[in-house]
Amino acid sequence: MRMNKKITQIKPSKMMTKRTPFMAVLFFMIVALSCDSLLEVENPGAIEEQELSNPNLETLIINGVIGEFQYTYSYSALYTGAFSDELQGRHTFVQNHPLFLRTIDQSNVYVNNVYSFWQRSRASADDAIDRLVELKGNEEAEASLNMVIARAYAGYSYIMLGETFCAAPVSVSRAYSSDELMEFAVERFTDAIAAAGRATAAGADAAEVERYRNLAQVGLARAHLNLGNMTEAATAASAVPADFTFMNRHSDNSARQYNPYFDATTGANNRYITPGVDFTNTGDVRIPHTEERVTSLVSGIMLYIPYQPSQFSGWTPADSVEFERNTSVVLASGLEARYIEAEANGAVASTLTFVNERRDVGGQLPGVFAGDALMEELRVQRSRDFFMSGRRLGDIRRYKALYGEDYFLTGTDPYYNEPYGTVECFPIPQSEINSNPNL
Amino acid sequence: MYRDRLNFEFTYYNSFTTDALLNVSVPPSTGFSGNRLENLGEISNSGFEILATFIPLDTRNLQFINTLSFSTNKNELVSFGDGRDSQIFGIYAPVQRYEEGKPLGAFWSRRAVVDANDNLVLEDPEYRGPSLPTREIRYSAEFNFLENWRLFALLDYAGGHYQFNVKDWRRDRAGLSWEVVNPDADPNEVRSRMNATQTYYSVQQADFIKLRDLSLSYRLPGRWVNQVGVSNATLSLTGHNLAVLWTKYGGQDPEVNFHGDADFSRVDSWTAPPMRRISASINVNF
Repeated sequence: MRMNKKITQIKPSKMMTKRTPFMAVLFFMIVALSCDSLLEVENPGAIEEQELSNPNLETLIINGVIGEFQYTYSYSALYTGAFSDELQGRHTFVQNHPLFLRTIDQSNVYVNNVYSFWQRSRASADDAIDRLVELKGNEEAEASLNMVIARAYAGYSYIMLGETFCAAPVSVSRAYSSDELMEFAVERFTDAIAAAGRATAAGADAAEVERYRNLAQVGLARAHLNLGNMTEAATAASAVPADFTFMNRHSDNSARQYNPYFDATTGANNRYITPGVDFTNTGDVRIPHTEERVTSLVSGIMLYIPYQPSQFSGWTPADSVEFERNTSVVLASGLEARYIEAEANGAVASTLTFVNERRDVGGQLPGVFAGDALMEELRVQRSRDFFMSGRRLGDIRRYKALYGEDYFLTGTDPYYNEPYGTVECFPIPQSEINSNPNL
Repeated sequence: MYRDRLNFEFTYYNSFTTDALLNVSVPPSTGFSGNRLENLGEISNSGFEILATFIPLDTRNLQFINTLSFSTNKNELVSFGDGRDSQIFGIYAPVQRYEEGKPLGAFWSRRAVVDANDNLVLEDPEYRGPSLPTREIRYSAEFNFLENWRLFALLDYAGGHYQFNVKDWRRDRAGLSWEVVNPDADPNEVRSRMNATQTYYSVQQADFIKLRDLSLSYRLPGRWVNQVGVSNATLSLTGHNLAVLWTKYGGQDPEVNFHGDADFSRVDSWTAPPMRRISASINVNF
């Protein structure tokens, strides 16, 4: 009996030992299947969606808007400049070829990048406008400096989309024409200027509000000018002080903050852009370049390499200064407002005075111009004053649309030795066509 | 059959997959960009596989074993399920698509032709073919001779598919390839090849036959190795990826892919081919 009892006691214990791994696996599976969080991954560096409604992150959200814009603006300036008559050159990368030759299509990587970056800049700014209302309530938000900032950058993002692309959707919409995108910009700038008035009354930093109000005024004038609304353009521009300057900043901090012209213009075996034919050997101090052609990225291709033109932070009329990674560029200014006023006012006496002022800055003698010749000279002076600063493609599209003046390069490109194409604006890229059911 | 000298296996399959994961673009106008996997497609795969083994010789001193396999695959994106248009992709040029009624990631190309007015005109994209093989043949021959020797060879064939030869595409455009610098070349073809947007000459058939493996083995006689406590030992000299015996493809190797296989993207852009590997080995069992 005792023996039997012993056996009966031992047997279950052995069975348990044999079953332990099986039971452990079963237990683990039950726990795993009942626990959704097993597959969740924490990213401590990520700001989660709900955090974007945290009032403490308001500054971060606005800095995000500014950061997206600043990076995109100069990136866009480089590639739209290469597409326009402003810059020429040659690169080994296959995707630069159709850009220089104006044969780009929806598959071009720069078309995709410029588009995606501007859409991200636009969406960040539009999203910030909504979030400020959510964070602060409508009344407080509409009287805040940050609302002025978000709206001003949103407006400029729409301007750049409209000046660069033949058409573009907004948040998976149908494709809006360049003019419709300019109308969106007008809306954003008008709201920004109204918010600036309320912000000043509410006691916000008056100098900062004024700076962004002027930024919005120039933007409003630029959008109206593109639309051919000359009275509105002149009115908006006239409100901007002559000495106003607003910079698009770059820094040495990170690759994303570098000025992209640095890589394109420095390094004996790296540089690949050269001023367009109308911007070479002019003797104009605003658009300096190397005295001689120098070696470039492509073996055997010798190029004049641009130094910092007058809208860039290191420019001086006396010296030629190479681009740096931290070279900043003027985004908006009283000078641009005066150009807009002059173009909107047409061939009048004040326009001639202004043109001769600009010729003097460029080291040219005063001229006697009238009528179409005066407006042509105004366009020449503008192209030099704003050389490489992200305005040229919008300008020459406007000149062709409003005045029938065609500045797009034709004939054979001297660096690729191939004929120019006929594309005059960036198409909507394939990535959007693939995924937007409204196109 | 015939005392196991001849064996056949035949398999037919016809599968239909719903909610297939396809890599599609996020609309950049949302402010976001890139791709994401979506449960989208209805996909069909059909084909057959034949395996045949034939042993024509089986004596004490010589055995000859032949193995031949042949398989086909017809892949088709039946439907996106949500009515969307073709998804066009390609990292150098828009040469691949997800399109209903066609294989996943199939190739399209554009031809540039010189018209009657001597203008170079770009034609609409035309369908070329799938990016993955539609038929594969493997043949192996094994000789076992003089009791301890074994000679083995494996040949691979794959065909019916296309590859995007980016290297030649860019060499054409840069005026470096023989097709462009050949003084006897058709000048219209040269103009076409040097056009930046044409892809007709660079989306190429990628059929090939490769000598995949060749090995010679010698099993040391038992009386030698048993004395040192070893039950058997084999010396081998093996070569892998030895040669492309034949191909329709213009590049170095039709099997390379610069972009990985995750989204059916296939690109040959100066990509290193599979390594040729020659090894000598001793296999010892105790």
